[in-house]
Amino acid sequence: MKLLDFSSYVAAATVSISPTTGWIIVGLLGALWIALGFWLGRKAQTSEGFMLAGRNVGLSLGSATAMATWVTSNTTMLAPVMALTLGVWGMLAYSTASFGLMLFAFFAIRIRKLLPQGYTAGDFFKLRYGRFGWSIFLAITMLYSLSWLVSMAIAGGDLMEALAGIPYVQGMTVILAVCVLYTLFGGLYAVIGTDFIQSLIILIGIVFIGSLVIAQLDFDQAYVHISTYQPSLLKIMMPAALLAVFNNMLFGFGEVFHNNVWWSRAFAMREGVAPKAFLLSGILWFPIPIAAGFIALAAAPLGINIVDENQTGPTVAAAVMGNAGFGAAAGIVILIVLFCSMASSIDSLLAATSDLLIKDVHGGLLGRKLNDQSFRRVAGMVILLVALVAWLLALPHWPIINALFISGPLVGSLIWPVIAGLYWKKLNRPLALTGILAGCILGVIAYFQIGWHTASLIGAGVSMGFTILARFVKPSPFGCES
Amino acid sequence: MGAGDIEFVDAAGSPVREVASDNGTVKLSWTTSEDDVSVIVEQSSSADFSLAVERYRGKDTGSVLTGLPEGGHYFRIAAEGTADWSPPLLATVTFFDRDSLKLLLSLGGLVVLATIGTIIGGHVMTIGRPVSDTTTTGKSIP
Repeated sequence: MKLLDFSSYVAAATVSISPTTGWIIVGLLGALWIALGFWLGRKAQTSEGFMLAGRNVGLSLGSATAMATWVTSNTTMLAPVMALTLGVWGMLAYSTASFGLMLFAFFAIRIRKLLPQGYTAGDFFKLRYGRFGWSIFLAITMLYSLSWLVSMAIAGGDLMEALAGIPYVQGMTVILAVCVLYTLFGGLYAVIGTDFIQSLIILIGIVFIGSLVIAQLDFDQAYVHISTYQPSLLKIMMPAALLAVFNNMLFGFGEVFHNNVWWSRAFAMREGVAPKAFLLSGILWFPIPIAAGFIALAAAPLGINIVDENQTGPTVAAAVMGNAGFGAAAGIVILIVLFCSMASSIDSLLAATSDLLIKDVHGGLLGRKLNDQSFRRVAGMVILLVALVAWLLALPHWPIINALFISGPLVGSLIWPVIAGLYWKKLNRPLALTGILAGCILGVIAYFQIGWHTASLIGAGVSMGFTILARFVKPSPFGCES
Repeated sequence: MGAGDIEFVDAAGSPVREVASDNGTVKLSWTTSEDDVSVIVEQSSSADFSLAVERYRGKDTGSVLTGLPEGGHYFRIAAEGTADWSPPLLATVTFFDRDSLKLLLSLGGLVVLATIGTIIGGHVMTIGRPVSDTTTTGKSIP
């Protein structure tokens, strides 16, 4: 029995561009971002200007930067994989990461009240949990941020090799170098400005490819195909997918609630802007994984063979564009969209991680004070140092993405200590910190023993239990509330 | 080309006859003795392939099949135009244990609701409350 007609898609799915075309696109995009970074960075004269864009970011730029930063290569590459393997629930599971951004809108109000002159998330942890708590936070966030940064660099190298035949090391180095240069020139001004344009390009690209899928898909036939040959993708009680919903949501909460990428944006936005910007960015981000996932769900009904699930998004995009007569442009569009999604995350991570190292390690741990002149020199060196570490870690092409996934229970364990620190008057701090460590350990064990789709849930659940207990068992005041 | 020339292999390239899945996804890979061979992959719920369906036809060397229901699924492969089928591959899909699932889903629901509820509750309780914090003086936290 012949089930599908693959003939029109097999060739299209392997569409790629020449190395020359790849270098031209990367060169043009890189030049554009660097020029923008240089131009936008003219205002970054002081440390506050460089790190927090003068604490004067408005609603449109604020929403766009939050949304663009959250659209990583994981969103455009992993969301289709989750939809392909876990179906409708998998698609929704990825979208629940937007709830973290929406809830951070509440946090932003409180953060600005508690730390009107704050710079980093580390300020908060040191204030609420002392040096030991701050050390735990720093260890977790550096592991998480570096693994996120390195996984983006690796994805960039992989993408350019797969699409344009550019050798991995060259591609990875170029994407990292471009982001370093414009972050170096313009600080958060450059990051936020480029994020705005990158978010528009990403949205246009996803809507364009999604429209092509809709135009080519017969929805009735697609439903019949999936319910006949992939019935579990529509199953309401699909265990792995259902667990992924809670796990991803809590992973997202943990990522957003603790990481300096988001705290620095809360500090950078004008008074009253941050809550609206985070809520708006969450709402705008929510449909993106659904659109990316929908593209993947259409693969089998359209007769597109997926050889490597990690390449689901580009494979389907190339196939539908090829089938619509955009064969030559397919690789170019995919390269531009994915390059933007990676750059918008790499720049934010470079800036936020460097801020944390300057303020918390250089200023906090080493006790060094910086004036505005020496700040730019140190900031530049730290950005270069972070980039060099990321480059060295990306060089051997280790599967760092696994480290990012394993960090799920670690960041999940920070959810409740952040909530308690922001809203509660008193807490048994040693007990809450014990909860973070217990959540990390048990969450990592769950990752290996039960499955990735339970790790963040276990980490967050254990930490929640300890934190609630810490509110009632010998709590002591934080000393900051009236 | 004979059946011995095309066979399912694992990630290391070794022949494989059985695979297990906990989410209905099976990644099939195969090797052919010659390049550019068009193959046919069939699936059946029985080892004798009495009710087989074609799942792939083309020159790729693998296929990711998703959404399979619980149970055993047999796959076989042959070069197009021949009837020299490979030995069958049995893919067994077993979803997560139901009791553990209910427990973890209950925990997930509880943690998520408690988290969202505590944030909203905290926001409501603190929105109008003044903060007497050393940080409001403008000094950065040491």
